Amino acid sequence: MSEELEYFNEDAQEQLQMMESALLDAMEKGVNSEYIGTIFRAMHTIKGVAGMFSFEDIISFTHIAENLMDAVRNGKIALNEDLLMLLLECKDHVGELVHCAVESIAIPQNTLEKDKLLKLTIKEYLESPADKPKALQKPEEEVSNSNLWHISLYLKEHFFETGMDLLSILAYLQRLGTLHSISPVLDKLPGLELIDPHKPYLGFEIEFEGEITKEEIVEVFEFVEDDITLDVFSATKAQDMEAEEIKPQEQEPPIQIKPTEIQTIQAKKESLVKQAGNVSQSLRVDSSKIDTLIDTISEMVIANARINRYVEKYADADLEEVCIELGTLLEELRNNVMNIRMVAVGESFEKFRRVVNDVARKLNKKINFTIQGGDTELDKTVIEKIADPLLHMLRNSVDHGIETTQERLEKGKSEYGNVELRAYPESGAIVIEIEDDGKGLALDAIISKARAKGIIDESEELSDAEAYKLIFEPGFSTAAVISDISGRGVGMDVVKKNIEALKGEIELQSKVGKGSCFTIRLPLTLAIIEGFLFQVGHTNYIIPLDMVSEVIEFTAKHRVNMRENNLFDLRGTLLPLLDIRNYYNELPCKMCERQNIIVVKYGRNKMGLLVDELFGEYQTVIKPLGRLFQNAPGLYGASILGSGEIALIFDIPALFEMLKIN
Amino acid sequence: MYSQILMDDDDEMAIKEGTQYLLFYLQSNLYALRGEFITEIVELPQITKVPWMLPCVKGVCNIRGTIVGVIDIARCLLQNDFINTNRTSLVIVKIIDEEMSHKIGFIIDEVYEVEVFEASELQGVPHFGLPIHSKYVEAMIPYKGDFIPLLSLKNVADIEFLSQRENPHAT
Repeated sequence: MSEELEYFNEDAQEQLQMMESALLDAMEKGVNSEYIGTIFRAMHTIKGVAGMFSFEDIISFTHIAENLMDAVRNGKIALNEDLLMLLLECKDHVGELVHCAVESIAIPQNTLEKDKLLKLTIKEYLESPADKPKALQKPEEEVSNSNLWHISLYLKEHFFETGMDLLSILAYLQRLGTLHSISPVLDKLPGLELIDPHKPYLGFEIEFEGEITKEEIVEVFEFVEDDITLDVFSATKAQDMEAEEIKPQEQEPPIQIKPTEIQTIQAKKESLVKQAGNVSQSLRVDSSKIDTLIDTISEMVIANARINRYVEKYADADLEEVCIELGTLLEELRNNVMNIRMVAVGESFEKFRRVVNDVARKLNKKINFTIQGGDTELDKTVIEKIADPLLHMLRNSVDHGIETTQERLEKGKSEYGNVELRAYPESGAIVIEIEDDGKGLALDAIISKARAKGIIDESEELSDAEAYKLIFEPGFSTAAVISDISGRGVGMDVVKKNIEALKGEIELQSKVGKGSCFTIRLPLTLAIIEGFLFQVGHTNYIIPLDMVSEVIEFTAKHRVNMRENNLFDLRGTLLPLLDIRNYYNELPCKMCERQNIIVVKYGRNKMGLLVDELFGEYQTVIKPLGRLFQNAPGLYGASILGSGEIALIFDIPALFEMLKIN
Repeated sequence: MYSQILMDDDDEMAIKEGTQYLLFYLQSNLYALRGEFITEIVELPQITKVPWMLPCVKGVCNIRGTIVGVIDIARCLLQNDFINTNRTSLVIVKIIDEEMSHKIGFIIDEVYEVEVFEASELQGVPHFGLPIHSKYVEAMIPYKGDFIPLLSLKNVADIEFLSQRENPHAT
């Protein structure tokens, strides 16, 4: 796929997503002009961008859809539920057309048929006068067919400073009809001695013919409307006026710009139009470029740490000042780069609204779907990978979790089932929860099912938490009836695998009759972290700072209390203590005078690590250890210290997991 | 004979068409490695131990900002740990494993020479009689009246084998 096509695809997807959100919101909260505007703009923008690529199928369809929305916008057609459903279908259809165009594959037969059908339905809407509220009916001239228009266009003085390209706009105009002539008006041009090359001095008189209204023509120039003076009048009606008008061709030798010329230049300027159009809210950057940027910054952080060591050595006040400033700037730069990778989960979550809506409709259930914490930020790649598992779980919640309307009423619940999708940060991780107030999962049902399937032995006794974990086993499904939406028992195990691949965790809490809640905990995988540096034996180690809960000195009192146990008393709470030196076979550290306990936490787990020397906070760059150390226990990377030495970074969640197994 | 001595390495490589090989000492015997995968040879840097690895995996070191795993091939091939002298070097090789390229370092006792040999000069590996296991040897190279084992990078740098965990706490 070429880069331009990718831009097009991204753009179209974004517009379609906005359209969908608007449609769904309109269904839920009622129609308002903002939603209508959004839907119209989506169709309009896609048509415009498709025009640059000559995707005729998309243009012709979106054109009709745009007309429909225009009629809605002008109040000629009321936006009722049926029409909203139709528009949803249109949105899907355009999505398919875009897909075909982008992948440059032929449009399948059934899509073509749908194309025809939708166009026909829209036409019916457009033509049926029954839907037109009479009060708002517009004068007939608006719907005139092929019209001759005269457009006179004068560039304001600052036009060249805007960076807009008029050629692309004219090229776009050309797609909407036939450009008969474009004549420049040069009479404002001063003599050579006075000319300022930064100013345009130009105007154009354009003869244009097309099935288009005046508003639509004005809209073509929407992006530059502040930078030009524009007059559009119908040339068919204004025949008599023409005589009075000073025709520029008569005064100056006509310099005609051929439409074909525009086309060739226009191809090179597509990207400019994009900027001018301001249609995209985001800038697409190859992720490998960001990786390189992060690598470079990582090296800078290391180099800066080395400079700091020299500053300490030479104790030069001026140098120290510069170094502090440099350090602050680096910190800022680092944060900014990290933010590039972070994306709010909201946009991705919005997509689920549609799925929940569709599933609920299919099952005849009434669902109230709420999203909370949409502005919580997460690494983009993590968001992409988590989408499928979430989708699956949401479907499950609607299908199995929420009862039918009748069941709900019988149980005295409100007829609307509630499904909530939440995201929030928690100690170095992001938590995503899916909660429903449906029937919940009965523990004994899960256990007997697991026994029947041979997942656990008859005699095995399980704690509640263990029993809930069973639903993540392969081949497990408690649904009595297998529907086409979910319930084949493939799913939760895949969900769990996907989440574990992201170094995340999933757990389930449920109450019969009250509902269920899935909790997913994901790490913020980032290249640079705040770490806590310490030494065990001869090796430096780092723990991500947000997992360190506190640090205490390991005293004789601890030693006595512990006796043979590996437990210690933290203000009345008993915590397990891991002796890292012993665990990792480190040699005793001769220089170290005393030992310390670092209390680490992850989720609900807490433990103490017995370590030697503490060095404190340290900004670290995570570097991979490579495949050679893929089995290294509880470590997920390394970092290069200012001195060039290496420190190993602890993978606390993996360490907890390992200790549980051992 | 005379002319050969007078020629420097560059001239020699220009005349002989073939692959470059690194000849090095490992516990006073000469061994060879193909030059094409070697990216650099450095003085042995400080090594940071990584817990629970095989005895021949010494840990990691910092090669200009990149973390590189360090393998003691003397330990791998001859079951003796290397002895650190001022000639001990680290040969950095680039290997492709599961479509990912990464670098690992081999500890050698001393660099001897870089030589060019033609493919026709290489000879087969005898089944026994070698000081090291024959699976680590790709070919034998005749050199100044002697035969030097050419190490097989694939079998020496076997990530699958080297990445094994040696858990001292496992029961």
